[in-house]
Amino acid sequence: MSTLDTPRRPVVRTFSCPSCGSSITPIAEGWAVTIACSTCGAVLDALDPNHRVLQEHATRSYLSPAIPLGTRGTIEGVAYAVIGFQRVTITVEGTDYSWFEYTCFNPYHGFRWLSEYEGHWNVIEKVRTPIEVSRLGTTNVEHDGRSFRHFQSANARTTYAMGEFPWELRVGDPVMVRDYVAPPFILSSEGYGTERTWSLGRYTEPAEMAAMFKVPALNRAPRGVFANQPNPHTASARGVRRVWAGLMVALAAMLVATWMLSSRRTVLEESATFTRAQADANAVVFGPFELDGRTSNVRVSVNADVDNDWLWYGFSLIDEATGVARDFSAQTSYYSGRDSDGSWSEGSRNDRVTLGQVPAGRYLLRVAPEGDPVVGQPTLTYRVQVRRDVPSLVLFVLASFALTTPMLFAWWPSLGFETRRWAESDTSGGSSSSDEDDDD
Amino acid sequence: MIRTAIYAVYGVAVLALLGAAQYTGWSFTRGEAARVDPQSVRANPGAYRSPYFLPGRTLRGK
Repeated sequence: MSTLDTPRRPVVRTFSCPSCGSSITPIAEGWAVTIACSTCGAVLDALDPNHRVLQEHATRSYLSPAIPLGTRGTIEGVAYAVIGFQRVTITVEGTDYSWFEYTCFNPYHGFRWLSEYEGHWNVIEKVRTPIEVSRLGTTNVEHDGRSFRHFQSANARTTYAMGEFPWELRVGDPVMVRDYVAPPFILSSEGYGTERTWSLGRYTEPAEMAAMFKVPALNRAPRGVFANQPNPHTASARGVRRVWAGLMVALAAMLVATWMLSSRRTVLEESATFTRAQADANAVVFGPFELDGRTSNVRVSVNADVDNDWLWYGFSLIDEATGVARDFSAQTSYYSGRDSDGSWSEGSRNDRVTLGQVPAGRYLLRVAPEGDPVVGQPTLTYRVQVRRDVPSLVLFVLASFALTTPMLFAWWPSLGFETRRWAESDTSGGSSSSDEDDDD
Repeated sequence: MIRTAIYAVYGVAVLALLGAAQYTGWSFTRGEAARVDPQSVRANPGAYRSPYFLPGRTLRGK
């Protein structure tokens, strides 16, 4: 049985509003400090036996609260009655932004508050322990083992009120509000003069709110991203990122293992001369040489002392046993000079080709170099090296791209959510790594 | 969780593919294959014409 249904409930006493004469029945008599008449908006002194008027006709319009006053609901297993409703407004760059706050009361557990902005709900309680902030508004604060990040500071004022409130409420009075977030929590400081109070809110899904207060209308889709709304993509993105980190470690281990296990042995190292005058008679054959072991790759490297010149090589790797020739080409081309911007150079005196999946056997390497038939030195010396079983770094680079790209796609929604969250903040650069905030 | 599991399977497949490619010496370049007489090429290197051969004066280079 809920505590509000116990026989010890306070005696209900009705009185007339001294401003408009409407009938008012307080629920939290003895606990409430001010009462705002829901008919005329006058703010009354709840502690005064005659309920003197503290503020006449503070609000002229009528707002219908989403949770009617007197509604009973259950917060964390405790029954509370909604006794107060207010609209709080801040002005940012000339634009008013308003949210609604509900004061809830239980005679044995005190007060709780609900806040609602664009369908986003928070259940709020006062913080009793002191919170130290070295530079208010610019730093993070610690509370209950969590680090809260500053989100927004603004002057807020109550622009509408009805019902009972446990403080001296005045419509229009400004308070400095500072919000710090650690989703799904929000830590808020309200300062008026030298007085400062802290409250802790927990983001509550609309469906949960509707169930708590048995008001189905509360279960509507919220708009936008709220300051302490949990990022729904965080768990998935974090999981993928962790797997990615593991895969990258495995990739690095594979690179080291491949490097250590590959033989990288040199099977041929020869040099030859290109004679410019006999353009069609420069072809030579190197070998035979042995390629042993399992089917693996072969890397052919060529180096030539070209200077403002080029040399092209037509290679044929010929299997002596089968007569199968694999034809491929390479080119060394190096140019340099000096102009108005200083010295420059382009090209390289080295080139290399890696042939894939070459079976073991005895091979010949035919090289047919070609050069400019006229310009250049009469002869050029070039060197050819053939290595067996060389690790291919290109494949590792491609694998790292193949692993990283899906991770970035998985991370993107989470990053977008945080960007939208911190776009509403007055803390600059707020989106970085803040999707880790709800780790706890 | 499903997305993480799918990504994990995909990642392991990528690494397995990489391992297989490294082990078998896979490369983007395999070379144009042709059948020749090794003895003939050895005896007369200039007679063999690879698919890359450009007859007459070459246009290669810069």
